[in-house]
Amino acid sequence: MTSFLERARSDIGTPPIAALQIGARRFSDHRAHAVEAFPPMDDMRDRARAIRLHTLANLDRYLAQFADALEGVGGHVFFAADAHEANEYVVQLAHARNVERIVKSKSMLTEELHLNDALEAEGMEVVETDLGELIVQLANDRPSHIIAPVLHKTRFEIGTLFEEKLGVPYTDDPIQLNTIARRHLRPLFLTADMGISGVNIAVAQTGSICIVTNEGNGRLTTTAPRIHVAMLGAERLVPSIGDMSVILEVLARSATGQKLSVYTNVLTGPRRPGEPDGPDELHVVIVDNGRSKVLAGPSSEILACIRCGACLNVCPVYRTVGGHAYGSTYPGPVGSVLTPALFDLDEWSDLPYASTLCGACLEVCPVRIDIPRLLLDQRNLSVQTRTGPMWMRRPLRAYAGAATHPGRFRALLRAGAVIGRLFRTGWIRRLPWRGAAWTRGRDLQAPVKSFHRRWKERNRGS
Amino acid sequence: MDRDAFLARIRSASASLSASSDPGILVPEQPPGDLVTRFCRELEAVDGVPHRAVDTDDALRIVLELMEGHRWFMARGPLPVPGLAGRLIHDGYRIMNSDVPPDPAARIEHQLAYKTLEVGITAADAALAESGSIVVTSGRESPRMASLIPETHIALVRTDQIYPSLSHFLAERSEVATRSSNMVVITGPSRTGDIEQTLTLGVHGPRQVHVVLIPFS
Ligand code: SF4
Repeated sequence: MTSFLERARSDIGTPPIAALQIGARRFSDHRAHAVEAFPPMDDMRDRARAIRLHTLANLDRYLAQFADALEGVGGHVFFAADAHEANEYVVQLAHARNVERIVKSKSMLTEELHLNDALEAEGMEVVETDLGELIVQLANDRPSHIIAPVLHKTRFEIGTLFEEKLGVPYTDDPIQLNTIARRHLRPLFLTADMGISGVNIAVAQTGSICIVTNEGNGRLTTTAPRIHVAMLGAERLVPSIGDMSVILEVLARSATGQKLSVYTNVLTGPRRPGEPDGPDELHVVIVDNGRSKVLAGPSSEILACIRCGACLNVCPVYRTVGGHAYGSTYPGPVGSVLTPALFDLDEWSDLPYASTLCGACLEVCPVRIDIPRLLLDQRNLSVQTRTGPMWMRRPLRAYAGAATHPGRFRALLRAGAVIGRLFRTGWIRRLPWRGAAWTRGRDLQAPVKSFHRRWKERNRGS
Repeated sequence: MDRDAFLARIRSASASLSASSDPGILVPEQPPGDLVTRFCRELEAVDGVPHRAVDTDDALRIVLELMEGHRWFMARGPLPVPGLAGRLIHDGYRIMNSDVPPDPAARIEHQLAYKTLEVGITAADAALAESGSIVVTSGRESPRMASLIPETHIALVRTDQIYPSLSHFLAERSEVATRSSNMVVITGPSRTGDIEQTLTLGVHGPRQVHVVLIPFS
């Protein structure tokens, strides 16, 4: 497998990254305005965090309560230990019910599980219905953002794609492209046998699931087909309907700057007797797939994440390298913590280094997850267990040697300042000899003044 | 995996986390001001169209005006404007059957007819001033499709059903969320920004959302 650096290097500066950069910046501007216009935001964030951490600490109890409540209103619950069990359940169910066509609304969890592949391998037709996900599917691409999958694509690419795959005349007008997608998907919705969705929030007390979308595909997916299957990451619960409203107050504001997304859809069991429409069956697949491991480990706080995407939008690394460089389902700061924790620290040992530790992610996170600290913990762990990348371990040891001796540290900084003056740009692209490994992964900002001097100046109030 | 084994694994994983007590809900403070005015302003901000009726007769007139140029509509059950559906049928509009049959093949055939549906008319259980949202529950009297499939959704709501925000509504009326299989909070017309973040309305759901406010008498 390629490394983060290799993937990043081939993407940086390309048109897709430029498109993504504009998009991410716009999202974070919208978020900033929404937060400014909502004075209670800080208190709501504290409460949202407290609710999520409380739920995680009592997760087994809330999961049991959720399952009981859902079964009480006629839903089916399946507990899946891993991706294989989860996919197998959906495949078997689809077979048993003679399912041919499946519509899907956006779900990162199903990407993590590779559920589409499992269903397609059995000859079933799987149609993504979120406009962005449809484009990703037609292009055989991968999402680059957790809430805006084609942030990296230009309208021209999409126009060409639709012309090629849907047999329509070329247009790059987003409104027309949207109309094409609506016309293409409408009959597929109405004739599908099964709808598969993710879950934004599950409510333990009532067995309800909440699915938030702007387009309405989430509602169609969970209404038109006779069977609805919802894939639920085991951590995404809250105790009550009131707790759900606290999360909803911060979710859309952080994600897109909206007060609420267009459709906040709360489903409690399948269609009931006497109701004119809705699915006849509702199955909720509760998925562990590494989550219990994360819960037991040092990064458990990351499971409080409500997947708003705000940390991606503000991250200077994400904005520079895009979503694909991270190599896994979950890009950006949240992904750099979640991916190694969920799967394998050895395999993903370079992700915790894909950060400048600037703290922007912590600043915006609606549940105040201390991502910089979690990344440092993982770096620490990977260096200790010697799984960390070699280019990182050597300089870190050298740095540790210097940093623990103030005299040596100052000497090092003075040397750095001298070198810095040699480089007009103020950035050191390549260090000689031992340092070469370090600058392979990053440009080093040349210290123009020593930290010591800057600290003294700051304390003088200048 | 067997439920007990799954839960046991989660239980032992979370053993080291400090078990804080349930923090409970928090209802944010709302700015002062007339709820009707705020609701109308916020609905317009999300590209919906508010209509303030003076009484139920006026509401009927507004709906008849909005129906002009259309043919097929879906409506059902007691609406806050008595006799509305009957009047529309009398005026020559066609009402769509909203009962989805249980047989799979019949269901698909029935749903394909929805392609001609132009207008859905529903009551709303509540409106939310802060976000310009309406709360619509499905149920015996109200098909989910009516607020979802047509290009135009007309919602009728009484002014005494306006709450300051979603948090206020759910704090006071949490039972509404679960009394039928589906409660949806709708905030303006369906939209996407997926293509270069260009705002586009009416992706899958309605392109136009009209909310007719009827004074409580
Ligand atoms: S870590 Fe925080 S900011 Fe990032 S996606 Fe999750 S909730 Fe949003």
